[in-house]
Amino acid sequence: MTDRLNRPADMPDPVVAPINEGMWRAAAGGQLAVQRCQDCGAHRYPPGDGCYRCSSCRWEWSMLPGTGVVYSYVWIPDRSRAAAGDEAACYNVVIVTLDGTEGEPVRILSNVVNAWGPRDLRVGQVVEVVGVPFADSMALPCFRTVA
Amino acid sequence: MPDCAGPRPGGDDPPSKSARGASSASSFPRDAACIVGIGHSAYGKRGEFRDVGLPRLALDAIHDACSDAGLEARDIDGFTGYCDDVTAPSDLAVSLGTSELRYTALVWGGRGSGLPGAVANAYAAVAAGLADYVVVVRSLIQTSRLGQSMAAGVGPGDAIPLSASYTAPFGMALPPAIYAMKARRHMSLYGTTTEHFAEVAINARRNAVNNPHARFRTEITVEEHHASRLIADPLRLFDCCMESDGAAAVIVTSPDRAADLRQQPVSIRAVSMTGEYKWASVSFNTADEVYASTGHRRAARDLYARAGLRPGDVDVALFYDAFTPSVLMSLEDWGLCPIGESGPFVAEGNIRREGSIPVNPHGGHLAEVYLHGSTHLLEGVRQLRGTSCNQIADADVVLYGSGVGAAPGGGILLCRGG
Repeated sequence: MTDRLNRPADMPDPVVAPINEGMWRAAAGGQLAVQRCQDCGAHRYPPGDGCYRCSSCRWEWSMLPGTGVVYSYVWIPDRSRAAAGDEAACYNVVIVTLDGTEGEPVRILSNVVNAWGPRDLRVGQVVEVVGVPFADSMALPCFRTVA
Repeated sequence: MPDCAGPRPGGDDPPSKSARGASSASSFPRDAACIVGIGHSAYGKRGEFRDVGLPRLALDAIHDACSDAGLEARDIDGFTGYCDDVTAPSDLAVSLGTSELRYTALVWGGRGSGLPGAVANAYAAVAAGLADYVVVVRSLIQTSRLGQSMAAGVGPGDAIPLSASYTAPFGMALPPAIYAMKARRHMSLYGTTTEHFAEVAINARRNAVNNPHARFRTEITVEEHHASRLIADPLRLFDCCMESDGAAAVIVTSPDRAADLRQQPVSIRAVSMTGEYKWASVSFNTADEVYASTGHRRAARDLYARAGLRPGDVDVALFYDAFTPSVLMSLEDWGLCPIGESGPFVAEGNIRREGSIPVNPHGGHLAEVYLHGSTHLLEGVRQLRGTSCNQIADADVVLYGSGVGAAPGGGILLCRGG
């Protein structure tokens, strides 16, 4: 049971492109990479061509610690699964504020794959990255709660 | 109503209502255009008018608005739209017999944010003399789910747009989830509850009882709200509007031309389409202080400054209410209650039509029809003509505030004309 992941069913894979490939590959290795401006050093997410702080279009991939704090979350019924008691079984979608970034706080939208119900998530909770593979050597950066 | 401590332009209060016009907070030319006609097509449920087609719905709304104004359809010489509308004015103009087509403009970006931009374009066109009678029109047939098109636009196994790669694979697939995420943050920061969300839906349904055009004219209770189907926790079915088909239109012209038309004009005191910093198209990386908002605090600052009005001057508020948290956050964004206090504010009955600041007396998206804010604008005109199904006594100033959508959204302040 501990190996089960709470992930939404039948969701599309991301489009792999030069502007995001590094993060999928990092996630496959259990790491979290986001863009960092090569001129001012500010991290940013989601991937974009220019730096919000200095407008530079020069960037590189930067490995972060991979930990963060839950900023907000929702529970969405997954109709493909059997109901759990009164309510449908739900997957979560979570916004996580990432640790170890330069500049304004950087948040990522993801899933906490070991959280199954309302008691498993709260704003302010500490989580860490875990890769969920979708292709060869590429994974989605998802998260799990830290005991 | 209370003199509220909402967002203030640059830390300075804009001049009071009594001082309007005397001390302009900017060089914005107030009241340079007005609304002289309103119209709409039949309203239907999602997909009901698939065979009718978007152009025909738009034409129905435009003809209705022309009739209301006392204009010939061929007199329309400008068109503005929003929300990436595919109803092309070049085609509408042919069907209307438009003799002179002088101006068209479309506001980029989806969801609930673009209506003030479309009104701003009409306003600017009229004020600058680029066109004489500009129609702002929104035509909608929901053949594909907006939710799908937003999250991914595709079914399982199909490729998605690059920009959806950071949301759709994680199951962020429905518009209510965007509001639910903001609602959760709002609950965590301020103690807002699902009872507060319910009050917004209850108010909308209650108002729609008197609206013959409304799709949902039965009242609901808190218990029924809480028992409705879970959509994206903390939001339930009764927190959501129902997708609709239909079209609405308003005709904008100059005060001089308005004087020759059938209706008492409703003046567009000011309009703003200012976006929030790093808002993008509803990013989860907005500035922290505006995440739990509709993204309109800067738009409010600009709008009140341009209008020479302040939140306490607003008699009726029309807020984009595709989902209930939108109204709570709008009350805060537009300065009608302090930030974080919208929950208790609605619990006290303030947004009911007998309250200190009636919100959506027509029933809004939650109960009348969901046409991306356009029907709110019709209600604003009715309130200032004194012809609403739930007329607010002595309504002189009406505010429209956009919903969560691509930046820039914005707002409109309408005033009783003449």
